[in-house]
Amino acid sequence: MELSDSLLIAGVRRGNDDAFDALYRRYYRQVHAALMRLVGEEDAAQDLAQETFLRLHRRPPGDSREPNVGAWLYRVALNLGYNALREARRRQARQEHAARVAIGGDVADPALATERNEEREQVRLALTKLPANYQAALVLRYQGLAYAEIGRVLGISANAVGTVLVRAEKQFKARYLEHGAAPGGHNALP
Amino acid sequence: MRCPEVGILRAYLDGELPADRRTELAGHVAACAACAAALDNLREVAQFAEARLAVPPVAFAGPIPAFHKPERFAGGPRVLPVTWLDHLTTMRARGAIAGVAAALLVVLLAISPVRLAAQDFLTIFRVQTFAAVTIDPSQLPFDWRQLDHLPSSAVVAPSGKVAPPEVKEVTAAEAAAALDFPLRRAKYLPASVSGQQRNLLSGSAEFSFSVDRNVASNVLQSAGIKDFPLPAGLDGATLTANVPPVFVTLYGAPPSGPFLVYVQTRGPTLEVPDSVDVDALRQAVLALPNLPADLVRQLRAIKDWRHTLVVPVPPGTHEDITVQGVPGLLISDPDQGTAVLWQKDGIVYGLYGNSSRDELLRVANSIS
Repeated sequence: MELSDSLLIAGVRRGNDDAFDALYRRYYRQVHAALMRLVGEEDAAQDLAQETFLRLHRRPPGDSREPNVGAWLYRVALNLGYNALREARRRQARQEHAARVAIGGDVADPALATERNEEREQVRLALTKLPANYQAALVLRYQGLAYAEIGRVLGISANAVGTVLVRAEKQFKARYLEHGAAPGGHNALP
Repeated sequence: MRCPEVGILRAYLDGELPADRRTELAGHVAACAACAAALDNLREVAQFAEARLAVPPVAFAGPIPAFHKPERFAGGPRVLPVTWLDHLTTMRARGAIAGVAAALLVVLLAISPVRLAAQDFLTIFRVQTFAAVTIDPSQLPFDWRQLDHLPSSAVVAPSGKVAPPEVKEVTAAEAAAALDFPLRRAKYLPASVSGQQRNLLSGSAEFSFSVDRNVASNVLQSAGIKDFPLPAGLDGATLTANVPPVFVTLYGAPPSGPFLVYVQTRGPTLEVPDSVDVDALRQAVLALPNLPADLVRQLRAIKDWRHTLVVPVPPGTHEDITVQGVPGLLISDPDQGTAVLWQKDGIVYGLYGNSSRDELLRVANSIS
């Protein structure tokens, strides 16, 4: 018999490792898939997925808010993905600047895709140029979520989701079509 | 039925409308050329996006990897934020104005350099305590990243020249002589950071800015906020932010190795002339449409808001703690490190580093 999310989340709050493992296995693939859409690179997606579940483990949702585990996980994962991309972009900008503090360490740079299908990478680049909530709306929609579920992750009503999608897709199309004129950096296409 | 909004049309395309509305809308579209055209347009853009986004990303092959049970900050965070350190060591003018309270006012203000005039200031905002407010950027009703592009303020020094605050490397003795409060040392330091130590002292800075109703309106509009009711007294008012000297001790090897940053300062103040109804301003900000209800609730819950430095944090990263016998704030993030903030006897203290939460608290409580 499969236990419900709310039962499992209650277990996690009590420190029950088995409950956590069950949620981890239940949602890992979805979280990973959403992150792949954003960062496009396996190592980074796995790292960020681990981060997402680390948050679940450390501070499981509940109390007054959001008992919807799936929505919570998506929200955390998308925020982490978005922040990681932004940080990588900033780091890239800083490294190109002369007198800056040297950044050591071997850090997986999620904005640098290694061997990727070119078309997929174009899509991903266009996607990551959008504001955070538009990125989230599109990723979630094409993960197959219904409006009500998307609304839960984004914190808006189901009715508002349609409007967000319209704007997001319009911007996505614009970004995608202009990619040829996009600024250079490590993602220069041949 | 009237012509529906694009959101409804889109929902219709996605089959997300309940049956009765769907039928109603289908009937309308059949009769209304404008909506039929709009629908076609939407369909085209949606298909464009779908053709590219509906392709699943590289499928996740193989078994789900094992979950790594958390080990507190073993080896330090993967990605270290240089931005905090940048703000500390370069003291860029805008970065020195701390706190969402001040930041929200900056959003509303047109910033222009003015000569300091003698004024009777009634309301003085001063930092006495900290409150963490969890903010999920994706939920904000405007594009918050636009705030990065606000016109920057000019810093007017008492002599009338424009200059950013100076940051100098000093010895502890030089700093103690220059400051008007006693410096406190941390008796305990994590082993990984003891050894190297540098001291930095920034000069004080004062920013005066005046509000121009029209420019403020434009700034708000560009951030997507329309019809914001600016209180009458704000137009033409001059506000003064004062950032006193900040003393920073850097231990260890930022940012790539283990490090600890220890900050001591009197804390910034914001002076507002009594012609400005700050309560009305606060109410207007809290009443912004589509602000997440949770954020509004958190802001309203701050009782002593004139003396509370609001620190925006991602959900799930902060703790209210007690440090040195006073309330403090702990913020931790696996990527960004851990910070502890508190105010005691009029001095604001901050610790920031990549040691564990417990280590940092130990340092904090060892300060005397």
